[in-house]
Amino acid sequence: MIIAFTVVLGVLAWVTIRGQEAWPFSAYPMFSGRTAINKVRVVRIALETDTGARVWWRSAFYRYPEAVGLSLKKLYAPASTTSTTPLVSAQQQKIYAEVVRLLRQEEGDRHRYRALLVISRTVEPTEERASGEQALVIQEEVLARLPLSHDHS
Amino acid sequence: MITVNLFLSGHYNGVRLFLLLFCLATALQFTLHAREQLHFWRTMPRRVYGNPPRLLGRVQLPALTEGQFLLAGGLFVTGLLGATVGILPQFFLLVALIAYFFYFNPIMPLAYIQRKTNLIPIVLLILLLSPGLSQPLTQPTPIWPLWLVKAALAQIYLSAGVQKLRRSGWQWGDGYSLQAYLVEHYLWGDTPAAWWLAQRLWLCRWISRLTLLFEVSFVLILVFPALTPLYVAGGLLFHLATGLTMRIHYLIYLGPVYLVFVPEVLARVPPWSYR
Repeated sequence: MIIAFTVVLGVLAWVTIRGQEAWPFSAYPMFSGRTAINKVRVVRIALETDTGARVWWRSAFYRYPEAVGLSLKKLYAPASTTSTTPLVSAQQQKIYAEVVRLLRQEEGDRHRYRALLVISRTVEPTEERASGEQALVIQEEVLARLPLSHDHS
Repeated sequence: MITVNLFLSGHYNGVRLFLLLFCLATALQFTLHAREQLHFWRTMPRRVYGNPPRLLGRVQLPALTEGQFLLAGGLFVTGLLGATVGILPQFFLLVALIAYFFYFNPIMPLAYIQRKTNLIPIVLLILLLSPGLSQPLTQPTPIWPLWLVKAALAQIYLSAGVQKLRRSGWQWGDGYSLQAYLVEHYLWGDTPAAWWLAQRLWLCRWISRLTLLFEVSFVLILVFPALTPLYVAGGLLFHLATGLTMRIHYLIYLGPVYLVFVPEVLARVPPWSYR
């Protein structure tokens, strides 16, 4: 019992001190980095419907759009937009194929969407008011528009 | 007149009580979310997230067929419920423990599972090694298993605080980082609470400081049990707030672990008597 007690405590202490992951033991490093709103940039997928309206891709499993967005953010990093290599292009196509697959799996008929939009979102702070509130303005930029083919297979 | 005093410290089986509460609560949460978890498994998360985490950072568990996945889930909940019966609890706890790894590994990226179920196998392991699992509730048992579960819970917060201090120092409490994380979550998921809070830097600052203080000091409950109600309330409030602002739902599978404090609460109930 004493050995087991010591081992469990020891592993908990080890992952905490070393900051390492050893599932199911974790250091829980989430949100530990220092950042600011002028560094925040989110890449999000939107869908253009057949009527031309734009709706955000919202999966039943909301982490999917976030994970896809994180992957696309690396591929659409400012340094890479000026020279898109074939490898980057292939990676982007793979991600888009996964989005379409998930859409088809969750929503069935995807024919009501005619394009997939990759949108970069950032925030601009304005001056802080006397009340202590700080108005934030969202800025969006369409990085890519990918027409969706109506595949009846 | 019969005087019954079941819940004074050292006069009851707190370990078995916690086993009952934890296993039943976890089995309930599993049952409520099993369908959604199966749907997520069917979306093949590996294709988006890559390979699931390795056991202890070393062992890649094999990919399962749907039948094997369902079997693992069935064994997990059977193990939990079987452990509550009181006959061969160690066997059923072992079944649940092994099944946990195979069932939850492929669906780890699911929002309310990633890291949120980490304590389940740790608690099952502690219970597996605990004395008195089959003893009646009136039978006194050592309390070290409960202390160890609390230590595992405290490690979550302590480590989170330590990593913040390691990467960012005390400046993490200046509010700007929390504001940025809230904005990021709003830009992803349109959570109005996150947007509201992010526009109040002074509030972000105070919450950041309180969060850091809470995380690095939660461990004090291990040596000063009188602080427990404060920190339990703080923990529940913390998780409710992150659920509301960032859609981070720890309490689904961490909530049952918080039931480790129930024996302690009951120990403070005045003795009652029957005529």
